Amino acid sequence: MQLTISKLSKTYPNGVTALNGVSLNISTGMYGLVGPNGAGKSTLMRTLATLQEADAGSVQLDDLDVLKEKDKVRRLLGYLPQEFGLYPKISAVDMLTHIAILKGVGDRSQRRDLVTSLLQQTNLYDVRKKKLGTFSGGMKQRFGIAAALIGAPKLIIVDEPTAGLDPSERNRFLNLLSTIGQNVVVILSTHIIDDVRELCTRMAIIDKGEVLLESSPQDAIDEIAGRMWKKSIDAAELSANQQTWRVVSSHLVSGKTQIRVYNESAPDATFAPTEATLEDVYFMKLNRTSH
Amino acid sequence: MSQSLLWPIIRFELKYQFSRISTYIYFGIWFVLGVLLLSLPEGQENAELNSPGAIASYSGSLMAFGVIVLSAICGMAVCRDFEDDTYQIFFTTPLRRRDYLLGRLGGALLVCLFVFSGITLGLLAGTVMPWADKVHMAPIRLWVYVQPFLLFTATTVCWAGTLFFAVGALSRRIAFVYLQGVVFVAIYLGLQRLLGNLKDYWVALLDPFGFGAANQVTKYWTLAETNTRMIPLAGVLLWNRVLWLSVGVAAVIGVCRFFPFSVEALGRRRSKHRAEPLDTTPGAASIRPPAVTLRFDWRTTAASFVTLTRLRARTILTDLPFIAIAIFTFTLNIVIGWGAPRIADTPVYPVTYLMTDNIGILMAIVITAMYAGELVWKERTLKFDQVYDALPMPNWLNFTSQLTALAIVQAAILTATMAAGIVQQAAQGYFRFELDLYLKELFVIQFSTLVLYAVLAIFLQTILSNKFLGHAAVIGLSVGPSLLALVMDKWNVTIPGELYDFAGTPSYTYSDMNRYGPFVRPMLWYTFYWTAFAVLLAVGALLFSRRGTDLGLRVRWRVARSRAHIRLVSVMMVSVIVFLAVGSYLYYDARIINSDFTPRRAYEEKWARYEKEFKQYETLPQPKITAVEVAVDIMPERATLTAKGAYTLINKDSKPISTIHILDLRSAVQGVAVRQGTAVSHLSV
Repeated sequence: MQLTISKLSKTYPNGVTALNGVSLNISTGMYGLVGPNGAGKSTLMRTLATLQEADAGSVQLDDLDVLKEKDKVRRLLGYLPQEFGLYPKISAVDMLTHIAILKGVGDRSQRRDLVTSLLQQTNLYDVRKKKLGTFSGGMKQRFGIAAALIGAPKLIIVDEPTAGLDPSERNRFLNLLSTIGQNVVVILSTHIIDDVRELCTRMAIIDKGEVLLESSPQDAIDEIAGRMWKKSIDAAELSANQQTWRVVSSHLVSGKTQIRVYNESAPDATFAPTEATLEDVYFMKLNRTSH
Repeated sequence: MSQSLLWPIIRFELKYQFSRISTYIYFGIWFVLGVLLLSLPEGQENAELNSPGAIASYSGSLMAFGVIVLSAICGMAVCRDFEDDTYQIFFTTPLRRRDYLLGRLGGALLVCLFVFSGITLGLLAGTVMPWADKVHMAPIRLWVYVQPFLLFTATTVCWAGTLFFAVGALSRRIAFVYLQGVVFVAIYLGLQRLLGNLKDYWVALLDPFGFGAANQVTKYWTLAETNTRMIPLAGVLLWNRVLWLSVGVAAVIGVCRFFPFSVEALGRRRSKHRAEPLDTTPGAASIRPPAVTLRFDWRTTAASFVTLTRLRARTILTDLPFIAIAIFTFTLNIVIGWGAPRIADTPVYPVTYLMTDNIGILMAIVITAMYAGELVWKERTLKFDQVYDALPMPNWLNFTSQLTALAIVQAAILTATMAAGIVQQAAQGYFRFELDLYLKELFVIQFSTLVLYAVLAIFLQTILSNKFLGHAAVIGLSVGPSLLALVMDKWNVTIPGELYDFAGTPSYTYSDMNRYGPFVRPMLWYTFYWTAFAVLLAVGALLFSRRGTDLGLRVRWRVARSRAHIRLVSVMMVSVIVFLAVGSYLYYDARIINSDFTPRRAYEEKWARYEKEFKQYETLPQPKITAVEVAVDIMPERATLTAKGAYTLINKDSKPISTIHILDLRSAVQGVAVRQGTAVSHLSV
């Protein structure tokens, strides 16, 4: 399986350019998309999920033209949108069975086993007969995951799947996704950089509809390894430091401001070397464009 | 800190509503209706078309349909915050409950007043339209237009708007908001039929729109009075308005009293029973789901169709408003039909064909229009559309399952109607149920009309950009043909109404003697004609059905063109050709082969000539008919009869009659013999 996106562009009628010549090559395995809000991640994912038309460019999934042969793509697709609702008066097991039928799981006993297994894995088995309208946010999210994974999809697109999940649910889901994702294409968008670091073999950073970086997480970190320095400062000194050094990020550690600086060698003795993280890469890429 | 925020909230609501295109569309609809209603008809005798009574009647009766728009605007004023989940933001500000509610209500009512001023402005514009019948128009007196606006339109806006607002705010469910207007109209129409013409004092008093009461006040007015007198706010009309405005006041008090103003209370109301949280032990979840074989052949398509149809039908059949309407229909049928049916004041047996003529079909049409909107917008309302639209099923499954689900719902209503009929018959000790006639009448004739309506409603909801607009269009189509008839009459175009009134078939009479007799053929032809049109609509619905998140006009057009593959286009072409060909044939049959038909103008001219030519004979003494002896042979299968016999006429006058006039409209008189007479003049018109 190989997903080839080339020069994909999309401008909405209100003038917002959501995608601006995006080209990516995505193979089997987990692929992470990160970027700030409004970067174009969801537009890209919706386009791959056959829900959105593109203005220009092409998307190939092996021999399939994703933009044209939508029906064939939908047979391979598992999609979890960023935001979704459910039929309130239908039970989880009925709805999942319904979706399984629509996804082409024709054999009755296979379907029953599949639904049962997915309900168990998303920890919804005990509430399978409860109406979906009574589900909490996290349960709804897990149901969405089950619905996306049903029918052995070859192309899985999940838009911020871990939003609203508590840490143990998130763990459970990421395990499930990486198990399933070994032989299929999984595209995952997220705000949580750690998700990408832990799971993804490849990743892309997107902002303002453009790809800023396309790499494996480890390669991206290796690029800046040994050049990250940190220092605790007073909040008032931040802007002075920003003028002198290339400050990648500043955050609070136990109530004190800590800055992380990118430099070829130690800036001065007050800085301590620190291990480069994927978050550093992310901020460096974003800041370069905003400067 | 807690200064009154009433005015800012009103302003906010006004700004929001006036930035929406639908506000102007609603205004436009009423304006156009007003213009057409006043400028199209031609006056008769000396009655003026824009008399105070006529203006009042239009202002009042249009409000009966206006409640749907009222409910859309006022009901949504609070519900909107819950749909968009903005309520948590509002209700955590130091905003006072009363300011919030009254502000939203005030804003919504002002917007409604603007929207419905379209009626008055339209009537005003209609008065001066170049094609209006100037002879029957009184010169414009502004008060004649403004007074009914205040008396009927504004009062109805205030009380009904407030009631809808209260229901919307207290239920906070969009389904209620969206259904209450339609249910109100349905109940109103039903009760109107139940209580007969609005003449009785109590009925007049309880008429929610007030024009029944106005009729009561003006009942004994002379023509001159009708032309000039304003309808006084007195008597039953005054009490009527006071009564309904107090319903509005009660609604305001109710909503201020019972609307909770804490996020916690509001949130709880929205989802009462939460499933208990689970133990989230981080179990070993990394087991691969069992392998499955996917197939995408006809069996999957069939199974998908069944499961989709079942889901859709189930959502409607278990929906509270639907159950309420079904029970209401059943009960109303029984109440209306209670006691022996009467024909010309004579009690007759409750035979089956009398039982099937009831409000069931009206209710079924209301339900069809209502739930077509629900079905077409279901996934989008639930925000389930992104999941649903990415599922691998062909586009047409969406349409066919929606249509089938609606048909199932319609069949359910018709079954309730049939049950009501049988219960009534049994209650009167009449046990000849004629089930086959029930089936024919309800499940063949009425059902086919209903299915055609379902296609129309799905089509409208598919191409129009929101649900209320779709409803407005359905109303437009129910009022449209009669307006069109007026337009055609104006320019003396004589196309039969059934050719442009959607799903119209010629009216028929069932008789126990020869059943449907000669009506079967025209009914089949007209049904065929409208089916061809419905196929065209269905293709339109398939081409423009929403799928995905890109729903701009240009994209939808492009998508529709890409969906228009050769098979669909040829179906479309065939249905256009059939529609036009059958239509032409029906016109040819109705107007050219059957030369009996006389256009209204020609008909009037003929009678004018009759009056002018024969006026001189008006006082001539004529003999009286004293005996009639006729043998009539009726041949129902050929729709003809032959009659042979003798009329005996005797001159009871003292003077002899010199000339006898015979009016022979159909030129059927073959000969006249007169004994003891002198002359006969044979006149034919």
